[in-house]
Amino acid sequence: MKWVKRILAVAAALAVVATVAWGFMPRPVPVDTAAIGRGMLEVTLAEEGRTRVRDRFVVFASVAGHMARLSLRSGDAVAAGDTLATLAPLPPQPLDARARAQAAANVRAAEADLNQAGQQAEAAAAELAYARQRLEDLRALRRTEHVAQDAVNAAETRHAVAEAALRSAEFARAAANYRLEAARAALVEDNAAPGRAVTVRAPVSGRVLRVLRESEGPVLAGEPLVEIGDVAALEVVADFLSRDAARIQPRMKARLERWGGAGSLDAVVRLVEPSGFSKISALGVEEQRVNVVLDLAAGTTAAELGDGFRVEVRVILEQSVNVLKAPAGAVFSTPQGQALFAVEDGRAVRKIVQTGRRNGLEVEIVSGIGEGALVILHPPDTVQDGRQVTPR
Amino acid sequence: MRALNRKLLRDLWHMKGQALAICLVIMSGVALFVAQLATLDRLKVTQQEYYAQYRFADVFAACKRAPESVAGQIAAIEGVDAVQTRIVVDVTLDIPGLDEPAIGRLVSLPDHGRPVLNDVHLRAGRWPAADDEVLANEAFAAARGYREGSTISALLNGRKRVLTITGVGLSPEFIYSIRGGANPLPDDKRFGVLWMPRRGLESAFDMEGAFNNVALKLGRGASGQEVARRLDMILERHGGFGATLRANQLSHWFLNNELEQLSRFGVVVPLVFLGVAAFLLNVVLNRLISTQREQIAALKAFGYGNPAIGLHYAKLILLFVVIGTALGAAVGAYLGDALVALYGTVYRFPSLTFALNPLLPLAAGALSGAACYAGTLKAVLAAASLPPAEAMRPQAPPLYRPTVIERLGLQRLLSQPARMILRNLERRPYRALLSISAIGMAVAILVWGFAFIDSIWYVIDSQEYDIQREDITVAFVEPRPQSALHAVRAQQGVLHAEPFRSVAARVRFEHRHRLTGLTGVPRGVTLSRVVDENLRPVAMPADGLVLSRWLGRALGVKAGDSVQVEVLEARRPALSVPVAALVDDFVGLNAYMDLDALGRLMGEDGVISGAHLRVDPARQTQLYRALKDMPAVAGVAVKASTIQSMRDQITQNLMYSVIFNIVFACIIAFGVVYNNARIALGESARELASLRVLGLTRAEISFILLGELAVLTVVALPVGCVMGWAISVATGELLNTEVIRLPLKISDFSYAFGCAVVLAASTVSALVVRRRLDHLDLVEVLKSRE
Amino acid sequence: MADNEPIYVLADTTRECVFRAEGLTKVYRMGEVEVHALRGVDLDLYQGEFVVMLGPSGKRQVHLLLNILGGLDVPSAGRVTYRDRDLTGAGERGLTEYRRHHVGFVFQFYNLIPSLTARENVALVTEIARDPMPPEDALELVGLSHRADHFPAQLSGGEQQRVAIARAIAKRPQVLLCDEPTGALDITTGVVVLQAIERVNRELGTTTCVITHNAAISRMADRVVHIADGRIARVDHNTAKLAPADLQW
Repeated sequence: MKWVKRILAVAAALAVVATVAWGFMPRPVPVDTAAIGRGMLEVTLAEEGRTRVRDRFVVFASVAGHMARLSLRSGDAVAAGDTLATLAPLPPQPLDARARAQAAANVRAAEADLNQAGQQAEAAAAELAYARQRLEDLRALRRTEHVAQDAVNAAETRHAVAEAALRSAEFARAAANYRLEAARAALVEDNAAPGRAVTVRAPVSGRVLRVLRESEGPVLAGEPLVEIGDVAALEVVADFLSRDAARIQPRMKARLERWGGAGSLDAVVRLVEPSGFSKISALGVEEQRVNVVLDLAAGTTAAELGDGFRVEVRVILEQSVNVLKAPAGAVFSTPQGQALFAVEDGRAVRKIVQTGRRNGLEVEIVSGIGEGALVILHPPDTVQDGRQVTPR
Repeated sequence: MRALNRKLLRDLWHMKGQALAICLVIMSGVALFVAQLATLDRLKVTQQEYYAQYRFADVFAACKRAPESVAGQIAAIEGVDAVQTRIVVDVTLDIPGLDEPAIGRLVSLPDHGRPVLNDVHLRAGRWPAADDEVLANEAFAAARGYREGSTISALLNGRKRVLTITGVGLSPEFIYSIRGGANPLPDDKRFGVLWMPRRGLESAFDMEGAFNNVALKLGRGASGQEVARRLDMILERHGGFGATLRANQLSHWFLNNELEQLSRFGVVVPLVFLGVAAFLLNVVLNRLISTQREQIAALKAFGYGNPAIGLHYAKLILLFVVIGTALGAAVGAYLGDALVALYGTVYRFPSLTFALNPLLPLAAGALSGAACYAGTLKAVLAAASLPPAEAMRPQAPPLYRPTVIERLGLQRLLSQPARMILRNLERRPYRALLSISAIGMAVAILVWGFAFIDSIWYVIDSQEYDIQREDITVAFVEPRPQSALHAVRAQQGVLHAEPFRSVAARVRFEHRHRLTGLTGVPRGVTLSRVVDENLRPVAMPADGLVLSRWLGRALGVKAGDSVQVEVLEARRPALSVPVAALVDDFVGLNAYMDLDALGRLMGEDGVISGAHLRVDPARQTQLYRALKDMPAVAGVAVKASTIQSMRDQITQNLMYSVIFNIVFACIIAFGVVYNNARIALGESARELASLRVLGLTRAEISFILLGELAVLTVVALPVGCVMGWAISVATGELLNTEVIRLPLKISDFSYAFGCAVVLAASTVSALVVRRRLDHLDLVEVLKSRE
Repeated sequence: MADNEPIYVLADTTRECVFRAEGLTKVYRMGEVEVHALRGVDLDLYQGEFVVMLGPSGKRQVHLLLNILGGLDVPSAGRVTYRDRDLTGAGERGLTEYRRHHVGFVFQFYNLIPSLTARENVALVTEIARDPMPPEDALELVGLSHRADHFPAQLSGGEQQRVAIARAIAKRPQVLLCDEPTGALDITTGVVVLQAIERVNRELGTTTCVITHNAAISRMADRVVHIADGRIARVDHNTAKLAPADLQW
């Protein structure tokens, strides 16, 4: 019996020590876990872009003129050939005192010129009359061969010259008359007799995108009046860093996100512009960027999308369907390669894995671990190979 | 009375072992009391003097930019005695050898003369004169080894400038040098305050004739709230961020909070020790009086009156109190000196010295006297009023009853010695209970101390592994459009980027309001998450706020209520927003919203204040350099270094507290076990000697005596664990503040360690008693009457 | 006076009555038992006499009687007067004052303060007495001057008891009450102690009352009071007192 009691006492003492010692043993570390699953993995590039109408027509005023108020509104439908605007001739410029005096003086000068021209015409007429008479006389004399042919020729010549001179004087008078008219016209300040209006027509059918000049008033030649385009034919343009643009190929799929509607829209890269440009980034550094133009995917419509709307363009560079993937927070690099901690039998097991594609959130697992395995997300420092862990 | 006094001294000498143990316990309590309260006193006095001498302001406000003429308007506010306008800007510092950038807070010094408010104490060197000269704050200069003449490179408004440090300074505004934001600990290697001549700041930041920061002094009887409100109204059109009163100024708030904790614990913890001392004295005195019954009878027979006897024993207690208090005061002064020095490394004052207020040891003496007499008064009075006739009668033999185990019929499991142990324990259940409580208290003190540490590590671990899962956080100078996120993401080395928008806002509910940071969290966030106290991520509702529970409590709101949110940036919208949920987070008073919902609130689309990044470790260094140099980037924070520096600092500070915890707990454990053992030895010496005569070995009688103690100790361990848990729960709330909440997370290691230490202390004291037992003089003991 | 001569003393009713006890009754509890120790004791003690109270061995009745006489205890019923002072109604302060100035005690187990020397033990009493003799004189009286600075642990049983006697008489009490003074001692030592007590009674004229179960001691008394069943059975007068040295037990 004594032995039994002694053993019991010793056992009791050991039990106490063991309980205390157990408290010192490291406890399982609580960890977040996730399961390796299969699914789609996309590697994407995202940038801010905006929509634009594929063909945009800006209608300019062909001439300077006075435009009536445009009744066009943004969004109105127009057909090719529709009158968009009417340009009436501008009223003449009002004269200031000096101009008026000058114009008036010009008128008087022109009148004087006209008088002068009139006098000259009369003089020329008189000359002509004399020259004719002379010619007739000389011709008559020639028939009687009293004068030399030469004299008759001379008289014919003089007659011709006098005719010409008269014509010239007549023309000069006419010209002076016109100049007088012109001088008088310079005094005209009202538009009592306006000229013909010029109509500006829509070059294509579509919708008015923007009315750039709405109000009545004078327009300059070449002033943009209206933008027209077919909103149904939208494209999206986004500028990427040249380094990223180099990875984008035409016909790559893309998604348009944050466009305001539900879900995202599918798009396709049409064109990566061959030429880049400098731009100061939002962070204040200068970068080389390249425009990438995308079309909405065939069959995708978004009636709510208009021209100049901001969208977020996510170009899908690579897409793997049905690959084994792990959350990016579970994978870390080691000198031996990529590794992660799997949870097996309540312990963390370090495994080296071969990884494939990766995007910011997920990593493709090529080999090293199987589907459904539990891995530790963001393993704390205390987790090591073999350490006990409890999934949270 | 002289002969009687000699008896007193000889009695004390006779039980010197126990007396020493008890005095050590009293000493511990008194030392803690004196050290903490003396430190508190010194800190308070130094704080008040510092504030007064260097004209610490009462009201603080910042704005985007206000012309100097506004200062006149501010001065005209009723109740304002003095106004100090200045320019304060946080800039990135480029420090060689430190691959992550550091932040410098540039504070302008007036071009002529000293600052009217928030003056600077020049510790070394000279005042800056030229536009690129600065004073560095002491903590930063010390951490970085800067001296007069050192240069520092800073990014001022997009341009790199080299600043020369002409001296080292201190200001009451930065007693606790902290930047603000998530980290509640000073990070002196990465944050410094640089005082610069105003001219220099004006020209660097296009602030000629303008200011962006103002400090006010209130007149007597002025209402701070009212002045702050008026100030806000004036500064609103200049982009004011909300005025704060001194009570909420960061450095002051932290210091005050610390002082408050100190005052709470400065009294509570010593009481625990004194309580244990009272218990021990109670046991000792009862024992002494019971052994001296006949002496008391004789003294009374010879005409010593009741008061004389009572006074005699009261004097004995007084000796304990005096010795314990004297030792405690000395140790406390030493500890207090060390404690003040420790505080001085975190809270920077021009001069912080330890001085012992002579009232403190007196107060400590009174306190320990009160405790000791509380424990022993009954015994003293009993001795005093002991009828002499009764004292001379032999005490009735102690009443023994069959123990519980025997009533259960299990006595065959027990040997005779075991039965003796059990019966002895059951005979004096109160004493057994109190002993268990006292030993348990030793365990509890250790568990409590370690529980505190466990909580802190839990919070830091959760911060590192669950909340902040990013590697780097980039913050922009001004809020940027969504394209900035793409730009950051496109940097070499960035694996993943998630944006955030962060604005200063005032949240108001009825008459209560708080200034807080409102953070927009993107949907599907994986990096910087909001988690509850169980570390489960909290998803942002589509609309509505998620508030820290403490913020909710401060405002008096619960989920479902709507609060007024007044944003103090950009368009400054003021809207009513419903509170969707309250979250039990650990650090700060926070308000969160879905990023898009916040954008709608702000009338913005996709505007972000910064981004959290996951980074390829191989490219991390290059990435810092690249980000640091970007003009739009205000700061780059590396999570790993921030957390590591927090860990380092906490470890350093906690080391001392751990050591003291262990020492004090050992004193208590040893004291209680030793005391009990000695008394038990005295009480049962005759029995044990008789047993030896009967033929039991030394080991067997040791078993009887120490077995009782072993049972008490073993039972006390789980009791102590529970007590420790209970104390942690009770004091847990006291430690929670608006800056940090410590959840109750006691690790098994803490329990085990507490038990192990107390077991060890008990074993050592048991062995000491055992030596005495082995040398029991059988003949002498048997001769004695009892 | 030769030590072995019988001493003839007559009971002297003309001597002053020091103690008068009337109908003393004492009931007390011991553990769970109630004991009726004294059941109505009437007794007178006279100045200067040596009285031995004999009680049956193992019973506490005589001890209780002594305690009551000495003001250490109060009777459950009855009255005790010392001189003209009523002790029964005296109250705690009164009894203390009474004990301080009028009574000296000697106990069976000496009840010395173990942490004080012999001299200090005596000084304990002289320091509060009105007109004490110096401790050294008291020790001289019991023949222990040479052991004045020894602790009780260093003294033999007989020496300890003699220190106790010195302590009792150092204040020059009117009355000396001894409770089984030789109970713990052998015959030789006991005789020495009794000699000391006898000397005190003779030289100082102190009224001495000795309680004992040992009938042999009663031979040295003036009167012997026999207590049985809680009452006085009979009172003997010793016509021939023996000297302590002549006692045999």
